[in-house]
Amino acid sequence: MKWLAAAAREVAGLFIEDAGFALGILAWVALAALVVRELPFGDPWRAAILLAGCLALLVENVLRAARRRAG
Amino acid sequence: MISLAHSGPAIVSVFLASLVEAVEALTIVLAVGTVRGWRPALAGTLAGLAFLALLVLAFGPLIARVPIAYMQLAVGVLLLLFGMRWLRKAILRAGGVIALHDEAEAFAAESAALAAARPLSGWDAIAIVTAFKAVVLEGLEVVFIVLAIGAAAGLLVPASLGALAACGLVVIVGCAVHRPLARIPENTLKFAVGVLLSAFGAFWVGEGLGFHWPGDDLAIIGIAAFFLAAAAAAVGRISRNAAPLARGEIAE
Repeated sequence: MKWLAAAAREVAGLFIEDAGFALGILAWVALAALVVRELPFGDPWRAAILLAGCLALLVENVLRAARRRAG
Repeated sequence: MISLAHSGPAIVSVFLASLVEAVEALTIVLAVGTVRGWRPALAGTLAGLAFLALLVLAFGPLIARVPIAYMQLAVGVLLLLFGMRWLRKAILRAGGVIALHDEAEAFAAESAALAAARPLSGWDAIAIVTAFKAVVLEGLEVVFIVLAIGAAAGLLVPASLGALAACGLVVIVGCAVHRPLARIPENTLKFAVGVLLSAFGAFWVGEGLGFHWPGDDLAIIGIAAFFLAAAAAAVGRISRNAAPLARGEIAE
């Protein structure tokens, strides 16, 4: 069973390197599905909000990682 | 009918991603072949390819049965996780926060580890397993990208051909030069692939949630431009403040 756990870890590693980052992406998609979808905007705005959230998550995460290393 | 605006970036993404993964697998297989012999290197490689083919045969038909909206959302989420992980790492490398990936260094490290391993008589299990693992791990990423982008966009055949072309190219060049392909600008390719996969992920999540992107398929190019601009801005910002890497620091 050890090899199975190791294989599962390798597969999970394809998608998750920084657990906080991966959780942030999943949380943002869930928020988009539950909240952004209900906002009284047209589709282009909903799509733009979804994209803006992804970009914000990415930039915040790499800047934080850089600060962590510098500090 | 899939437009060129959609199929073009899809095939380019699959080709470039497969190129990067095939180069990484080739480095390990070359190290195994050079240090432990070509028979176990080829045996491990062929076993790895057979395992990947089985995975495709098992999961390919299953994907076709999933309703399109669920598939778009699931594929979009997985591509976002996968693509943004690549892009995050590429930004940190480009900004000098983590070391650049170097195939020559990876080859030297793997060769040293293989040379130090206890020599075995008969079947060289260490060599076979090392080659098998390299092909399966790098190949899994190729299979995922082909299935995710190919299935969600209805481009399974062109995506597979793009991946096969990239792998074939790497094998031919690798056999010709018998050295790791260290001159391929792997870090730049990874940056580009991260941008493209993230863009596909965001696009398919939006479609899966029922948001319609302005310009339909053309939106992928616009989304990729936003990811590229954000990534470039982040690289500029962190490279100004990054501490120099420690000497001998190994790339992830």
